[in-house]
Amino acid sequence: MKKINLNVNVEYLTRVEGHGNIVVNVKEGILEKCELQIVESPRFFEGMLRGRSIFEAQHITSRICGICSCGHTLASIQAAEDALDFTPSPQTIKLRKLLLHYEMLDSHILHIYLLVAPDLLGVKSFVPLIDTHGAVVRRALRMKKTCNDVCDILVGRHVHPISAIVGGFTKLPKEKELDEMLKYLKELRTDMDATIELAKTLVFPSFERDTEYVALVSDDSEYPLLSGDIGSTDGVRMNKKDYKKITNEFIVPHSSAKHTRLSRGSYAVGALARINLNFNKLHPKAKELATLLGFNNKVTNPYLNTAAQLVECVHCLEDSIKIIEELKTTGIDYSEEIVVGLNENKKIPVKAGSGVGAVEVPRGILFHHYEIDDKGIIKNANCIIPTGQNINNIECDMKKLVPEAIDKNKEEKDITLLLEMLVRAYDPCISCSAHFLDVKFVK
Amino acid sequence: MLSKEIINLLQSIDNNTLIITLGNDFRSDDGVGCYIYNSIINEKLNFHLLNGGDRPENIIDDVINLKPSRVIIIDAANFSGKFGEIRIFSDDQINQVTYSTHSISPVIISKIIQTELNCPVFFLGIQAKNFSYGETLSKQIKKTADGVIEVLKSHILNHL
Repeated sequence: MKKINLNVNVEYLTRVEGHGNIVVNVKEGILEKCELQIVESPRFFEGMLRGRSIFEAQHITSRICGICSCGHTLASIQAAEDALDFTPSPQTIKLRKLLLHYEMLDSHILHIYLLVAPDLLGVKSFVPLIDTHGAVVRRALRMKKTCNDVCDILVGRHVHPISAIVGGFTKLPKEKELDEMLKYLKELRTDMDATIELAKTLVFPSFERDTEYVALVSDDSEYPLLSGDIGSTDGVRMNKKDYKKITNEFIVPHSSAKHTRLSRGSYAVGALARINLNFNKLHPKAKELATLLGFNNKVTNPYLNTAAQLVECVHCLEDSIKIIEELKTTGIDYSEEIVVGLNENKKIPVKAGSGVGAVEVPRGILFHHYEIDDKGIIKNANCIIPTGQNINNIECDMKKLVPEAIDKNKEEKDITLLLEMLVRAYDPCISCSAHFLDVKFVK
Repeated sequence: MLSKEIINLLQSIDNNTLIITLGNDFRSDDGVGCYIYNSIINEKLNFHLLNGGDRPENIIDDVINLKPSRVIIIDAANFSGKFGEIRIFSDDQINQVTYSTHSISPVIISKIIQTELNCPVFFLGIQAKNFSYGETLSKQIKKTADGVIEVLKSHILNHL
């Protein structure tokens, strides 16, 4: 690295959820500090779960995140059903997949348009685009509205779903509601096509760092989001119950979020990881786009996580349409509707046990783990959030990016922007990741 | 007690004015906009009224189709004022007051309205005390909201 001095101090990073700082110090060409500092307070959700019924856990953990509330709900339900040895019906699984697709679409659209596009179009926020790209802005908001609307129809509201519970759903969509969702989703195709055309014109920064990518994997032909083992591009494959052997959490002084590592110094989760591991299982239309964008081989440019999210948008949209059409063909079995929300009728036998949920949410794989007693009361809980798994990998990217940028004679402001864009590419949800509290007991 | 400036603004509304209320009624004082909406929606309104709740993007098309000549957005805010204090903000100011990646910023909504309709947008921010989970407004915030409701209701009665 060239023998220069560089001081980057971004406090706080904008267009990400929560508060994080980028701090880089280079002295005489030596990288002395290169950190993504997570400065938020822990939120103690695992503590809140202790002593609560397993049947209400999904409503509590949904509040971990306003964007991934459906993902947390589903991971929580999966962990609960695993602990109770309960197998949901095929219809329930289909509807849960639909819910996850809706959230994936909603979150990815928000990230692509509102958080990343300003960087790629050379402006500081989404607001100036209203003057320069009015039609694009209206399209983005229209797509967001569609995601809100279909989620409302399926689970009662667009954030913190009500009707998805342990065992199934308290309200199943009527025929008219299936038609309504189908209509909205088919209309969304036009805006999705326009988004794809726009994305083809965007130029992402060029940067490569090979890392280990981790996501759900399976032996069937379905793009795994809700079930499967945990796999990595380095050849690891484990049952979800062994999630701690995947995450290997550790703490660092500058972060209230724990770091993780697997086979190497760090690993990445999220859309790019999922496509790197499951490219062949994408919907044909999404696969076509992915091929066009170069995802048919392992992609190691983290900035392309945003492009990978667009591919997943196409996949989720098309698979949602397919699921609804299947449900319309088979018809909904309304006898499965659960009328008692907290298992008061003891329909699901309660026993002591331990269960793990592993669900692919927009930012990557999410783990929930509960231990319950014979009355279904949670004794211990553990939630490992995707952003927490990505932070170490982001720092490793930063440590490679900075010397390369210096050697390319980039100015400090350009390096700062590249670093900000790098962190944003991972779509971090910093508030959700904050997990660790350094307590000093004074005797 | 509402300032003269606020009362004048609320009393000057006409049948082509649109009031938009925003906020999350599960987050205590953040629900002040929804509280005002629910308190007047069943009146014989002589102005347009829409509730964007916590998803303002959902009402953009409705706003554009209404073609209002003036828009007033009412929402909870955090501007280090006294609890319940109500102020009129410009776009530049609300950018400093409230922003979240979890939802579309009111700045974006305001800017789109101005760009698409070329009409003035006033942002009425009520200083919140409590944004934690809950469905009840703090005493000071409710008092201000009731003041706004009273002015709007008397305006409706005066123009029947």
